[in-house]
Amino acid sequence: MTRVSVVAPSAQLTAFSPKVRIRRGVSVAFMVAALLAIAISMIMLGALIVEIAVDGAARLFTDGAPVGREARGGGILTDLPTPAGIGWMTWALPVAVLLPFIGPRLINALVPGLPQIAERAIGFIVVAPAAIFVHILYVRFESAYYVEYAKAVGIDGASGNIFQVLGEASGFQIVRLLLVGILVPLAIFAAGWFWAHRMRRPSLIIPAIIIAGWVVYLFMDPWFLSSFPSRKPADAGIFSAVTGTLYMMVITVAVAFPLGVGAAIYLEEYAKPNWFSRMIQVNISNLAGVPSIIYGLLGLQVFVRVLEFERSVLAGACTMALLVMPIIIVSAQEALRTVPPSMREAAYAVGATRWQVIRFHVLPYAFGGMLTGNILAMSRAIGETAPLIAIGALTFIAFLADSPTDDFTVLPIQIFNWVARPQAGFHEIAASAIIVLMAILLLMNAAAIIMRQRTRTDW
Amino acid sequence: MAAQAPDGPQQDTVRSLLAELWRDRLQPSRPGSGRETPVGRLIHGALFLTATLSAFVTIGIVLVLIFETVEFFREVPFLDFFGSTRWSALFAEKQFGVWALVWGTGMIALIGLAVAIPLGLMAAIFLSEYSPPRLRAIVKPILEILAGVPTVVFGYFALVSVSPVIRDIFGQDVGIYNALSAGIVVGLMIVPIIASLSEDAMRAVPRSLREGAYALGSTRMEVSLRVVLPAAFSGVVASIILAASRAVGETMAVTIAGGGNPQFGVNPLEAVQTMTAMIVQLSLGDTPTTSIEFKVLFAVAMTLFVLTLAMNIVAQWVSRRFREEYE
Amino acid sequence: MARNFFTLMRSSAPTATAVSGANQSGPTTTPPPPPNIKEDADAGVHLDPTLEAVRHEITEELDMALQLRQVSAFYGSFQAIDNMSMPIPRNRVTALIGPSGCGKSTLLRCFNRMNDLIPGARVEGEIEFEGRNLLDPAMDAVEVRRRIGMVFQKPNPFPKSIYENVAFGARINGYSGDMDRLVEESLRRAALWDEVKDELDKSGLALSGGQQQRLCIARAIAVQPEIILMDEPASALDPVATLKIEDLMRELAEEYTIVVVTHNMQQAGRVSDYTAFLLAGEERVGRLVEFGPTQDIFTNPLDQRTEDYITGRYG
Repeated sequence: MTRVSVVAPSAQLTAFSPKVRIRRGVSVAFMVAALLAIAISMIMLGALIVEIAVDGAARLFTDGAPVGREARGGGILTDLPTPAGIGWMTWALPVAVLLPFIGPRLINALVPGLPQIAERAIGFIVVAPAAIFVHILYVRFESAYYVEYAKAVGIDGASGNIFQVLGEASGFQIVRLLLVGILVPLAIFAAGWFWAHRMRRPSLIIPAIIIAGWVVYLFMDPWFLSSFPSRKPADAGIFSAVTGTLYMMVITVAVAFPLGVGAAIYLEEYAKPNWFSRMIQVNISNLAGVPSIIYGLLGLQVFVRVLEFERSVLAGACTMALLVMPIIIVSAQEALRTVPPSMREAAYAVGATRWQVIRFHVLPYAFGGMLTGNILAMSRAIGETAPLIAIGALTFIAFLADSPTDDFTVLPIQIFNWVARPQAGFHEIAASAIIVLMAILLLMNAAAIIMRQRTRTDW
Repeated sequence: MAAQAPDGPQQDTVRSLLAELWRDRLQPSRPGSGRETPVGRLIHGALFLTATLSAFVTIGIVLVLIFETVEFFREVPFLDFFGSTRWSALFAEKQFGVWALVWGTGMIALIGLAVAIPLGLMAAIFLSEYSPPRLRAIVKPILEILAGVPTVVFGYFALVSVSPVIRDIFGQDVGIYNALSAGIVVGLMIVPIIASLSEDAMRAVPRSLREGAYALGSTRMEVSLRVVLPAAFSGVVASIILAASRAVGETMAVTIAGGGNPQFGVNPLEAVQTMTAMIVQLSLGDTPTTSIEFKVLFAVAMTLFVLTLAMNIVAQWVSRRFREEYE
Repeated sequence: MARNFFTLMRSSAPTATAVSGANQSGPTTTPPPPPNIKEDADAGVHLDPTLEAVRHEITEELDMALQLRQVSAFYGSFQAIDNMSMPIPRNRVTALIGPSGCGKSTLLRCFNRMNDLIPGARVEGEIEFEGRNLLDPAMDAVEVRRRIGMVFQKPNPFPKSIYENVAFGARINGYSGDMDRLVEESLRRAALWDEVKDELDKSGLALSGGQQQRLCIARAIAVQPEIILMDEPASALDPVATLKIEDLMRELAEEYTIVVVTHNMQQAGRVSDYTAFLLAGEERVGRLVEFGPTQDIFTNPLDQRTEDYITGRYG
């Protein structure tokens, strides 16, 4: 074996360049560049949000009915005098909303080191009545206004009974009653519950969302949410689009969730590792990559034409359900995989059948994760436009869908329709509608995040 | 269960009661079937059906597309579709050169990738190699918000914000609808895909590899670029292909901001039309289902479907084939 | 002709001149008798006076590669090692032994600042290296790691070719000499050359476990460190591969200072010249119990706990 000849030691030593400083400098510069990449992405996201907020706020937050707008439905609402004896409510409501969050924290700060059981008790004692109180207060608030409204338009015998209000109210009032009268108290209750269970972050996020929502609501233009589309930007609203979106989502969930979760359970719990289950698995991941507009064409041919659903809510919801099913299946599978095998084995070891193991041990464990995946899938479906255009959802709907077979429109289609018009006025209300859409998405994602934390805490 | 053994002797010990209870359960069952009750079998069957539904969806898509595509090629020669770069489906003199649309799609996807690959990869490297865990816990979800923004919103952003900036830079004779603005927002849209999936792949690189490199006196950048990135190569490439596939299938942003001008030019400042935008355009009009415009819709969709499917399959293949096994 | 070019390069390092004559004995497979043992325990002890665990036979005449003074390490609020002071003699194999969780690996990772990479980790005290405290934040961790290499418990070759694995460290450190020769020499030093010389383009991951570990050693010596740290280098290997690694360590000790963490007391006895015995107390904080020539630690421990461990009473 020949030995390699040896170079003079000094030459060898200088072969290593002592440029550590420079290399470190380059490394730091590289980090700065990487940070910059993130910053650029965030700045673009920020620009998008600011652009939409600036464009859309004008229409969304006009103070009362703008001059010159034609009154329709409950149009004289804003001209009503403030009903007697409810002035204090405008202040009491926010206070009642805040109380459950400030109260326990105050107690916590004043009397540190309370045992957990006491904290929970305080949480429930304060929160549950507060939620109910907010609900009652709000319903009275709305009823009082309704009495004034009934007087003004000449409806006889208006007592302010909530059912009467619901029967006679304009779409706007129904939306408001739903959102504020029920959702807000529910959210308050949830927040207090999280707080009582020492999940501090969700208990902070929820009040933040509620308070922000409250402030937004106080300044919001009631017309935009409660009007139908119009040829004039100033008159147009998103009532049919919002209700259409909600309607479609309910049906989509009802169709997609059981099917998706069922498929996931089959693949994770029943399927043997043979060619068939592998094929299904590969197929699902491929379906997740199919462009959404192609699902639209599938829906057009299968649901609209062959099954003759026409261009209805049902056809749209079924198409959407197929579109989001891969997402639901994959996330449900992931949730099922987090179930520790020891739990299944323990259940089998006491003689449970396969279905009993799944029903009583696996599903309860994985359900939180499945719901999270479902919400994420829904937030995808809410923003989808293309498949609904392909099945021919209409953009100009001046009525509310009564049954699943009615024509419908959804928020993104309405937005697309307005963006596609040349007038700047329509661009503005498109931005306003985008704010509403993004607010819904934000709420859904917040719910998903909170739910994920909840399932983590439990196990 | 106990009632199924009516003539069992009266016993008062727990043991014999249980024995009676379990006697009928200890029947030999079909090998491999476990012990499934009729209800269990019913549920098994129902779950099996839900699982096969996904296969039927794929079959449905393929059948629907093939059916109308075949109809289309009965009327229009194959070469007119794949052998031409001129598209004018809505004019009296109809031309169906799909390359104009494929080119528009490709151009926007390329612009998008040119934006998204540097941003996404750098973001992934930062999150995986440099970021303290707390910062990552904040930054990653924010980045993923980008992925959750509806595409129609990106379309609005392209039209109202990006396009005017481009016109400010390149002069006012640039149209408000152009491929560049659509491409940029498509890029923004796919940044989270590349960042998130690449970061996952990089974080899956075992820590021992990083330590090995650090122990030789590497800086963080050298570890990131020379050890982690190559080791995570398959995942990174797969994420880029998936992002490209998403860019190709993207519909609303390119419909709103890309303009509706099917053409075969190289200038990104001109309006183009993608395959998806064309499908939307034809869907918006009340196209009779027997017309040639309706059928060409499916021929284009078929092209799109095959293209994205191929990309997804390549991505899966890459991530499987070139994955390093460390155990 | 010099033995090989590593020797030459190392002999030009400024600190290498202090090596005493006893250290330059030829290659042996058995541990050389610990040099420079003074009968008078009190004469010229230059260790930290608080340190009782270190045998007083070790005097200032012994050339030190590293000198630890009151080193403590923390992971967040958890203290892993407490107040350790000891020398690491140059061109010797020093073994760190002790039961699981006594802070051996943590201590080893202090020597080349690997703990910097763990969020929340913190090291206090002083480790003197060529007249400077290498724990000083002003010291460049990258340069420290270049000069104090490390071999890990599980072989961790990069997913690259064998050649690139060895060349990696030299490349990033700006080596401009003959790369082929550096790779060959490093592989020869790691006793791997004959096995892989025909397949240098093969992936490092395709080698057997023992070969992978020797590849990692070749990779470490290719950047020509002064000290090589080995964290249980043979624990994932079979007996034959372990034997090869041990032989290699003995050989490398001619030119490098080696610190090895091991679980295996026979191994410590076979390969090391000096041994430090670490033990964690009730609160799981690792402390140095005894440091001294391996022979003495094994045959004549000063501390009862050392004897208990050596005789297998800790398991």
